[in-house]
Amino acid sequence: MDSFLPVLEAAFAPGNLAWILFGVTLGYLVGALPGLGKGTATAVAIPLTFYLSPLAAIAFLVGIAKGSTAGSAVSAILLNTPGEPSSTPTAMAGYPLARAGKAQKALKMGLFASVIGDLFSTIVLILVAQELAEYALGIGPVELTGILAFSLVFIAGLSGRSMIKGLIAGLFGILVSCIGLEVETGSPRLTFGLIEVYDGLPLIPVAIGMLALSEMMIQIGQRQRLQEEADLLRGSGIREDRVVTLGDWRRSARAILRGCLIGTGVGILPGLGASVGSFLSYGAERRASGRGADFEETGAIEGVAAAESADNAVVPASFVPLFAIGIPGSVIAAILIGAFTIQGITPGPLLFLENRDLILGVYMSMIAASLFLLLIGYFGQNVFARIVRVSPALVMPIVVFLCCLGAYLQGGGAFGIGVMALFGVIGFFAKKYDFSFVTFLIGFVIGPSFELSLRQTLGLVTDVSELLDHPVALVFGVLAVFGVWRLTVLQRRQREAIVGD
Amino acid sequence: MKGLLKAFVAAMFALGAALPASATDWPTGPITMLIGYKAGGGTDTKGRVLAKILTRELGQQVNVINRAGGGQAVALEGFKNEEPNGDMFFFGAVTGMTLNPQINSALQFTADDYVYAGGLTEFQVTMVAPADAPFDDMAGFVAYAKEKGKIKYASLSPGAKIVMQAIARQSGLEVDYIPTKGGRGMVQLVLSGQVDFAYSGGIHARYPGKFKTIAAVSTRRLGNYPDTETLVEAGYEGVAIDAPTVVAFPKGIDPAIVAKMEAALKVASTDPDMMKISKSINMPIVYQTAAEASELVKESAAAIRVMLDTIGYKAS
Repeated sequence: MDSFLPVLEAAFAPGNLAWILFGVTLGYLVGALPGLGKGTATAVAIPLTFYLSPLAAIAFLVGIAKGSTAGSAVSAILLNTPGEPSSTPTAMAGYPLARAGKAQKALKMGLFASVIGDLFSTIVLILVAQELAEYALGIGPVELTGILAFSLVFIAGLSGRSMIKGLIAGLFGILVSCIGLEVETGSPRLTFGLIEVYDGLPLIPVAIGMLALSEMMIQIGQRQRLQEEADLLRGSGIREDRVVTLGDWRRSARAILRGCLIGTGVGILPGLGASVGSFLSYGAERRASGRGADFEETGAIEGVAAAESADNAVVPASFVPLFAIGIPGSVIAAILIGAFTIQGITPGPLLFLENRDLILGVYMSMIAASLFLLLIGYFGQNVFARIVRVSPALVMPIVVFLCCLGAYLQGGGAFGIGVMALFGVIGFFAKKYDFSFVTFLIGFVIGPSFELSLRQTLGLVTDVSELLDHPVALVFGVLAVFGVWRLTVLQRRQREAIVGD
Repeated sequence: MKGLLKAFVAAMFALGAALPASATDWPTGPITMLIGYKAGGGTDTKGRVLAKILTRELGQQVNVINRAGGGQAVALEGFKNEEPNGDMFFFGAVTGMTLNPQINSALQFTADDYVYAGGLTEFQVTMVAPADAPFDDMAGFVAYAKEKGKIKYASLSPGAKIVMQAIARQSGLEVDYIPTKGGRGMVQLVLSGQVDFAYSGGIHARYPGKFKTIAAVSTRRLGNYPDTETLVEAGYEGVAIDAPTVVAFPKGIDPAIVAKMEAALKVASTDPDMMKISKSINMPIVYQTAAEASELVKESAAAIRVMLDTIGYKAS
C-alpha cells in the first residue's frame, strides 16, 4: 500500500485531471460530429501528447477514446448519423425515439448506459488484465474463425422480415469487403485499377453513405412532412419524455447488464472490434424483447441502452490484451501502442513489472474519465440537443456537409466523398426495397477478419483431427451451425403460418 | 468585363511565372511532409518528430499529411505528379519505391520517378523465430526445417513471402505460408506458438525475451543487430530487402532544395528528440547523404528484381 499513495497522488493531481477532462470534452465533441469517431479523435490527438508525461499522455488519449465513444450516440440519436459504425444500432433504436419527441430521454439513457458499460469494463480490466491475458493468447486464428462464423450467423438473424434479403445484403457486404489487395500475395482484387481502394473501401465513407446520406436523400423527398415532425422533435412538453423514468430503468436494466458483459467479452478478444459488440448486444435485446422490427419503427429505449453499454464496454476491455500481451483488441488500443512507444514504454508482459505505477495511474485515470464522462455528457447534451430545434431546411445541408467532412477525413480526401455518394445511392435503394443495410455493413466489417482467420486456419490446421485441439473454435462452430438451423426452421414456420392463413 | 478579368488573371500568372522564388530562399512558405501510412504508426511517429525538427531548421512550418493505402502506393502514386517545387516531400520506407512497383504492375511509378535527399533511419528487417526455437542461425534453421518436414511461416506482406520463397527454393524447404495482417498479426502468431519462423520489420524488438533474431534481410548488417548475419552472408546470394527511411522529392526538383534538405536531415540525425524516439521505437538512426541514399535505392531495386526473377514471380 505504501507505493499506492504516490500513484493516487499522481493520478489525481490537478494537472492530470485537467488533461483527462480536456480529453473527455474533446472526445465528446468530436464524437458528436457525424462521421467522426474515436479512431479519428485519438489518432489526431497523438501528436499533442508528445511533450506530456507518460501518465498524462495516456490518460488524455483514454479520455478522448471514452468521450468520443459516448459522444457518437448524440449524432446517432438526433440525426440518424452514427459517428462511427459501432453506434449504428443506437441510431436504429434511438432516432425513432427522437422523432417521437423523446430525444432527451434517449440521449440520457444512452449516456447512462455508456457510463455504466465503461465503468464496468474498466473494473474488469483492473481486476483481470493480468490473468485473462494468458487465456487471450490462446485465442488464435482457429478460435477467431469459429467466433466470427457464429457472429455472422447471429447477426444475419437481425436481418428483418426476409432472411433471403438479409443474406443477400450480408453477402454483398462481404463481396464489397473483398475489394483491395489480397492479404498474402498483394494481388489486387476487384480494384478496377484504382489504387485508392488497395486497402479496401474506406469504412467510414461507406457507413456514412449507407446510413446518413441515404437517409438525407429520403428525407429531402419528404420535406413537408419533416417540417411538421421537427415540431415534434422539439420535444413534447411532458416531463416523462425528457427524463429517464424508473420504468425506463426497469426496461433497460437487463439490456445494460447484458451489454456490459457482451462488450467486455468482445473487447477482450483481439480483433473483433466495437461494432461486433454493439450489434450483438442490440440483436440480443431485440430478440429477448420479442418486439422484432417494431424496435426500429417506434424506437426502443432498451435498444439504445443495449447498444451504448456494449459499445463503451468494448474500449476499456480491449486494453486487456494490449496491456498484458501487447496485442491491441481495438482500433483505439492499436493507436495507444503508438502513444506508449512515443513515451518509450513497451506494452506487453513486462509492463506490469517495469511500469507498475504507470499502469495503476492509468487505471485511476480511467475511473476518473468515466466520472467526467457522466458530467460532460449530462451538461453537453443540452447544448447538442439544440440541434433539433433548428428547421430541417438548415439541418440537412449541415449534416450533408458534415458527412462530406467525415468522408473526406477518413476516406483519403475527395475519393472518400465519391465512395460516400455511391453508397448513399445504394443505401437509398436498399431502404426503398427493404434490404437490410445493417447486415450489409456487418458483412463488410467482419468480412476481412473472417477471410484472414479462415485462411490462417487452413494453413495452420493440416488435418481435421487437429481441430480437437481447439475446443473453443469447435463450440462456436457448432453454435453457428445450430443458429443456421434454428433460423431456417423459424422462417419456415412463419411462412407456413402465412400460407395457412 | 469578363475578358478584362481573364486578362488580369493571365497577367498575374505570367508575373508569378516570371518571378520564381530563388531556390536558395526555399522554403518561402509552409511545406508539407507526405506520409504513406495512417497516423499513429512507427513511420508516422518518427515523421512527426522529424517535421518538428525541420520546422526549426528550415524556418518554415512543416505540416504532416497522411495518405495511407497499398503500402504507401497511394501516397507515392499521387506524389509523382506533384509540382517539383519543394512544397511537398515524402518521408517513408524506401520499399514503397523499390519493391511495390515491381510486384504490382498496376502501379504507374518506379523508384526513378523521385529524387532522394537522404536517409535517416532503417527498419530492422529480420527473419525471426520464437525465443525457445532450437536454432540460432540460418544453418540451424534449415536443419530444423528439414527434420520437421514442413514448417509454418508467418507472412506479413508480399515482400515477406518473396524472401521466404527465395530461401525455400535454394534450401529445398517445404513451407506453409500463414498470411497475417501487419506486424502485430505476426507477433500474435509467434507468441502463441503457432508458427516456426517469421519475417519482421523490426516490431519484434518490442517484445524482449520472446523472439530470436535469426538473420538480417538487409544487404549490410543492421544497426541494432551487429552480431546477426545477413541472409547474403548465410549463403543466400541476392536475397535481401533494404528498408531505410528516406526523404524524397518528385523528379525535376532544384538541386539547391535537395542540398538544403540534405543538410537539415544531417542535423536531425543528431537531434536529441530524434535520438529519443529512435531508441523507443527500436529504429536506429542511420544517416545517409543524398548520393548514398540514391545509390542504395538503385542497388536495392535491382537486387529485388533479381530475387523476383529467381523465384519466377509474376507481377499481378
